[in-house]
Amino acid sequence: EVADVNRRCRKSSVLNRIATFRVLAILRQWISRQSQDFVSDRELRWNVRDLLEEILQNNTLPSNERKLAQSIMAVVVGEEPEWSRDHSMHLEAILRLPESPSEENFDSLRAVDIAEQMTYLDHQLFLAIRSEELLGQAWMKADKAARSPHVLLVSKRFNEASRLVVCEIVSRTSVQDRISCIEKWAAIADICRLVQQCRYQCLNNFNGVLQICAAFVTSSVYRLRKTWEKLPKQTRQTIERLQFLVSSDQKFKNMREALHTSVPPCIPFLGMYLTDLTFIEESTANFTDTGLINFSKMRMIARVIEEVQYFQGTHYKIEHRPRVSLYLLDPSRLMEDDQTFNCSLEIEPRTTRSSVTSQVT
Amino acid sequence: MSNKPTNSALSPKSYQYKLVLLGESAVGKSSLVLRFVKGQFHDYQESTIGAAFLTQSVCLEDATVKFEIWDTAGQERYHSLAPMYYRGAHVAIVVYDITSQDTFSRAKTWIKELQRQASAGIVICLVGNKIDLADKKMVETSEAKAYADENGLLFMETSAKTATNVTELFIAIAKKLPKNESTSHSGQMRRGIELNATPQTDSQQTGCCK
Repeated sequence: EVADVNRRCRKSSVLNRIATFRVLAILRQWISRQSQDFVSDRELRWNVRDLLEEILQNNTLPSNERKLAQSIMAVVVGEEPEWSRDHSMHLEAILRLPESPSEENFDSLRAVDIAEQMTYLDHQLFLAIRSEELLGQAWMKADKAARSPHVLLVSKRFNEASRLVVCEIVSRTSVQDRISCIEKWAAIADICRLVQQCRYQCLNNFNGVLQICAAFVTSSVYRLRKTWEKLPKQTRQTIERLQFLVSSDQKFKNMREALHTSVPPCIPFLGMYLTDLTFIEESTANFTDTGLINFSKMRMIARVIEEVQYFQGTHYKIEHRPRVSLYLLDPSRLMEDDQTFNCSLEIEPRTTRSSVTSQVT
Repeated sequence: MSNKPTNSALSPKSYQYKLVLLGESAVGKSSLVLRFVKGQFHDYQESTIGAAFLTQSVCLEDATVKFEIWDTAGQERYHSLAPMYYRGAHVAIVVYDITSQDTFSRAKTWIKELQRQASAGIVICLVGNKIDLADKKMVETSEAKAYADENGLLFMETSAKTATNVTELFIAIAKKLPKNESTSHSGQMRRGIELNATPQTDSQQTGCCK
């Protein structure tokens, strides 16, 4: 009987040991891969610290486990990682606008410089997104400004960049000027996609390509038939190729494929992930009928967020050049949709055909 | 992807249309879609929902109508992207929440934009969702119906939650769509800039979806 008790004790101690080891391994993985969770949540850090203390109090803890627990403890009670706060200050600095409008303009800047700084800004914003901003459709809730500030910043920047492209095109009164302008934006989009000269790395800025392509199909620009007709065939082909790449067909199938075959750094279009997450959130419940956590759903959410994190993990070798980025950020260049549409009507008035269309609608 | 009519007199012709959903966030756009395409979706099944492309067919007496559904749920704040979605769409469903006047105003703004900027033949459908919350109703049926009539829109009140009027909605749209070669899949599903596209003739009268 004593032997039986001994055997059971040994068995339970082995089980305990395995359980402890697994808990520690998960903790280590959590801390190394999701350090931001511990930055933003003090209570979580305290709880983990208490748990580790309890584990370490066990005198029979094998030395490997002890070492592991101690190394995790060092991270948890150590200095608060500063990068998170640093990055938001850095972001604030690069987005800060000067008192006066920027001195540079679209014509004074080179296409490659504009493309690089667009990519720089897009990437800095993309890096700032914290994973928890993507949980529970936070960016769509009433308190979105507090819960998903960087998701909102990314979409705001997207709209502004697109509007800048539209404004530049419709503010030119001569057809030739508009053609040159479209050609240059097409070149910028093309550079955002791929630069092959060895001096530059591939930008793979799919978000940037989409910002520009979206501007081309905005009504104010799309309707400028005289301009599009005279656009050189080569430019037209470039635009078609880029539009194919970022087409929303089949939930951005082409962009997804390109993203998965490109070598990072890449900037994906965040909206694609927001739609994926919305569908996952709404298609199944968080809990099963029996009250268990729906792990299958959580894994699907995790997979989307992991992809975002994957693209946050590689950085560009682009330097910030305020001279160029301030041109891109300058709000004084932007007009409202109604204004750009009026500009568009002024530079190319409605033809009989389009006035028929407007009567129909 | 073939939409060629088959030779057999017994097989109905099949048509494919691009359908886009617009509306404020949280009005239930994706719930409507999910309800409509149910069957394709299996709860708790680990599939790549993100990449899953949403299509669903409606069978009418004389034809099968297949919808390719482009949902913008989650992307409501990317306003500059909207033209990319509705350009070339055959159908736009503009959804509001019957318990919120704000979402109804936003729906009207969407309709104005569509009428000015989308292709001329687009079928626009105004949908008041969440009628299961009738006691919290803020947008009167008569008000929305009158607006829809004035603007030549299809109109329906639905509940994605209880499935009320969801299938009916898509059947009404399928009936309303023109069934001829020039408006079938191959004719209009182009992407990109189509500069020399001839405008579609607006032969379709409104209100024929009995």
